[in-house]
Amino acid sequence: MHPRRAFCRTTLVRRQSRCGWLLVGLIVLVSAVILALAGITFFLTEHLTVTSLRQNQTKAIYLAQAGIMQAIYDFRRGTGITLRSYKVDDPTTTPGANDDQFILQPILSGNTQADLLLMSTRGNITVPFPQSNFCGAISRDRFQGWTVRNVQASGGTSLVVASFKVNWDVGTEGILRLDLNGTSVDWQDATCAGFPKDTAISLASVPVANRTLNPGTRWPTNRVWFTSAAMDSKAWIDITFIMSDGFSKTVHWDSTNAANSTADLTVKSVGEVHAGFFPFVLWRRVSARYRVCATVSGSQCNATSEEETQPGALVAYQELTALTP
Amino acid sequence: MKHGLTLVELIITITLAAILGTAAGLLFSEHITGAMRARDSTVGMNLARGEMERLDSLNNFFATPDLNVLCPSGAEVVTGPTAFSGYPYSYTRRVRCLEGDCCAAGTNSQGVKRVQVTVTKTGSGETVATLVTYRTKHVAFGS
Repeated sequence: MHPRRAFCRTTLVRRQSRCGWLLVGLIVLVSAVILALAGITFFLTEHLTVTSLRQNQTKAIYLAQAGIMQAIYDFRRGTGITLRSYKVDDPTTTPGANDDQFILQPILSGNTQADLLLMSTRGNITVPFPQSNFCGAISRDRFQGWTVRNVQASGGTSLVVASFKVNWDVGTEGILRLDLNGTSVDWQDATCAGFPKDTAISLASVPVANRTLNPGTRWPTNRVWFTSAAMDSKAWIDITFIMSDGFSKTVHWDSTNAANSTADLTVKSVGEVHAGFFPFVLWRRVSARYRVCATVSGSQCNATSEEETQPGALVAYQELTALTP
Repeated sequence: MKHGLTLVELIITITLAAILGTAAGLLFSEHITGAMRARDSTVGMNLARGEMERLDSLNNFFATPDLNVLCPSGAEVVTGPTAFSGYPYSYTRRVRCLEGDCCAAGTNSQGVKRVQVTVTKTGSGETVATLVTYRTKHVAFGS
């Protein structure tokens, strides 16, 4: 037998033991390396996902802003606002399934009737009505010159007024009568006592057709009658329309500072991003309040064309809470 | 007498180490690349957002060259790439008239512009962030 083989055979047991520990150590080492690599890979993947998510969140908010701008542009050019999806690079076409887009929300899934109801007190407002034979020979005031409009384009949803209320700074006068879209009476207090301020008054007795605003319709003449002739001394008057879906719109009139009188519509837009590191869809939703005739009032804002063409402003802008689920 | 590893053991060890080392090296390399890409994306997007907000704050559809389009066609004006001070990134601004008339100043004409800000790595030109929004004529931000 070869001397070396003889040596190996005599030391076999001790060497097997050492090799065994080596193998165990190797397995532990390899396992540790595999775990570390798996952890790093997982971390990297998550990191890129989060980064992509943040990128798309930022993109989506600006797409939503684009939707607000598109809606205002459509209002200003006189076509009215259309609630649909828009392809960001070509808003005249319907976006494909994988296109980045913005969506002007339909009423039933986010907007309310009140959002698209434009009530304006920035036109020619008058309050005094020194004499009247209505409900006795007592001088009454009426608040007139405020306008109401459905800013949706043809094919949109009709807006239906269910009730209304009027509020003002001080005084216990009452509300006697409401005229919608003209000077004829639509609602009146049969007792002539007057309804108290800031109290919802149902219009259920008024035919639905008389309190429905179809898309693109504007009521240029509306009036609220009061029990006294002291209403022209009020600092402010608010009129609130409560719509048939339960949401309300309030228009504010300021007797001393016309700039504080309002003529606002609300637009809600969803920015939707499809592309990203991972194929998930992400969206963010914003709401903006647009004021027509932001820099003028009175005779410069008492017509449809003036509401559309006078400079306007985004007086409020906020992100709504519903993010990507 | 103490003996070292046999040749076979040594070869196996070196082979395993090479395989594991290569895999680990590749993964670490990917990780570093991914981390740098993520950093580029994050920083680039924040810079793009800053530029977008600056454009919003200008609050003027016409009187700033930063929002100009070619008139009367309304064709796109490309500005940049302009380096961000203190960052290894540059931005390119693209503004074009999307619909309507973006050139006439009178309030009777309406228009909407498409504004795009793209941030790239200075040098390589690799795009790290892009934002798109619209601006409508005669609409200011704030009351």
